[in-house]
Amino acid sequence: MPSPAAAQASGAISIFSDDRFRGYSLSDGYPVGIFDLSYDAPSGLYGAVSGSMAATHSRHIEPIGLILNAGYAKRQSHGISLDVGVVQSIYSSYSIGGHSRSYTEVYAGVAGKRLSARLYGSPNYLRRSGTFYGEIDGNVPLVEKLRLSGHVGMLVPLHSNPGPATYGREVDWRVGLVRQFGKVSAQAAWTGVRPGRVAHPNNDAGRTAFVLGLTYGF
Amino acid sequence: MQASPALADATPEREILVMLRQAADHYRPTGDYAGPYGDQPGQSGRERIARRIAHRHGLTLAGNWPMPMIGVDCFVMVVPDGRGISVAADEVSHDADVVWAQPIGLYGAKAEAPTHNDPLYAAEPVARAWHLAELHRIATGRGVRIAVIDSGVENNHPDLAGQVVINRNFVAGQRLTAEQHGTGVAGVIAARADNGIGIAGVAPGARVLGLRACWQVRDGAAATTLCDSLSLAKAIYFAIEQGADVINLSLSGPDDRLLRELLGVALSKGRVVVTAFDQKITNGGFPASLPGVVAVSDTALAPARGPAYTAPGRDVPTTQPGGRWFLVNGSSYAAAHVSGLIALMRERRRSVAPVLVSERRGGGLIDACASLLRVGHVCDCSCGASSQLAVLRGPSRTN
Repeated sequence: MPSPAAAQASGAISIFSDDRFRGYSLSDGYPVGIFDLSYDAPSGLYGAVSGSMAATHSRHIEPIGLILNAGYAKRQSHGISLDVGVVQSIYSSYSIGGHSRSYTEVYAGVAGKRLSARLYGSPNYLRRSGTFYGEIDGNVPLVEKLRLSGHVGMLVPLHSNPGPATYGREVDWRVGLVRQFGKVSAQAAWTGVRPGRVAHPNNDAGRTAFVLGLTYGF
Repeated sequence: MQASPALADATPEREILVMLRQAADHYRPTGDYAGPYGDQPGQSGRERIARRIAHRHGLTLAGNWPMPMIGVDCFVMVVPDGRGISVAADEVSHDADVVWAQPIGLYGAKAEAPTHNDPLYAAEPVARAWHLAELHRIATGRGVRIAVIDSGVENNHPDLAGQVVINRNFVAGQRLTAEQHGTGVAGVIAARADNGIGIAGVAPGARVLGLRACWQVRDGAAATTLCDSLSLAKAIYFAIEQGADVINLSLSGPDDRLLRELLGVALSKGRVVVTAFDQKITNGGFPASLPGVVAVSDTALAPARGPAYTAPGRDVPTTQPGGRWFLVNGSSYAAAHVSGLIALMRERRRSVAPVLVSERRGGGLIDACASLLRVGHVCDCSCGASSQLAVLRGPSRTN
């Protein structure tokens, strides 16, 4: 296996026609701009920060959220990567309705060449008490620089909350195409969610959506 | 054979390989549209770092080939005229952003020039020495995939039709074409049996991945086959990805860290790597010198002692481009015979690393029948190790 080299920093700027998180729109169906900065240390420790803003119908720029992430990933001798970390997500009142909220999730995952799986746990996910979220992602190359990607995830509340805001299990999915053009990747995806007993507070954008996006890496 | 200065001059470009660390795949905050290995920001970041390295060292960035399986992104950089390639690689190796850098090594196929123009001039040596037809009563290599990393394979040759499931080129700037060495090696391994023409491969039930990482210089008796370490690395990587059970490398050249890393991954995944042993070098050259690799020498050329197995490699009739057959010689074809034998053993038992039975531990004359019987099959064939070795020793003395 390779010997260590210096840490690497990288970044990306993206635009998407909608900001869909676990099947729900955080931008109320409006286009978003996202920036990502990440840092990978030779030891396997990594950190990232990501921020997003939406361009709304009144031509205002509304902040959507800020995500802070730290973790540790290690590649095994057979090419599989193991990954653990923590994410702190802060969402604006625009993105989730009502007051701005933040929550913490810890996760553990495994990634191979075609498939990855990750399990998240949160004590305070958005308006719920404890939740688990499991996801499986996959991708299949179709021709050079073009691949099919897929995702399925399930959110499981640990407790049933009394009162009107009751949430059940939710399943979200996404299937899409990704095409590389040098430093830019273009994405087109069909995404949706099968909601629990009460829908997400910001569901005006519909439960399925076709999302287009461009990402420029640097 | 180590690449001689003359061969080194045959390198098509003045290029070195510069390895940057590729972090393990991990969570990324932005929606993971790309999925595993779709590390667009990381890839762009490494390209930016590579451009900076090239600028710092007066090189030109010419391309890259990510190899997440071994945790590196391999960048190709061009060294300007008048500057030593090894010196440049050594200088870049000391850069803090670089895991390592190396020249592109040049490898020569271990075949001797054909000696006859007559197709099927002699019967196949393994028909006598290995009792091939008897072995085929036990196994034909069915369900086993063998990567032939070599020059181009003629996949529509009448004796190879249907045997080559993938035929792909990894030599930059060249097109896939049928060439002598690759077509010959593929024929020895997996030519169709009982089809009324040509020869029978050692493992006619196996399927070949024809991975062109080498190219032929000149035609006919003067033909030479050369490969470089980047093309070989791409092909080995592909073979591992494709789940090849056996990787045949009928070649030899300088020790190479990138190839060592990749072959180490292949071996750790239980793949069998078979390569030609070069008697002109103490340790047989690379990759024969790599622990865990099955190094094979032509019986007729075998040293009295050494870490290599021996198998027939003299006057071997095999497939050639243009739908022809020809006689070939050399350790390349000895290695191809052993790749075929290991495919037979793999058919009998997939989960266990095959152990070759030979006249001494880890080398020497192979007893093909005893090797196959050892993987667990009971048959009515009579090929005890001692008698088989006696049969095998005969031809090696007389040829």
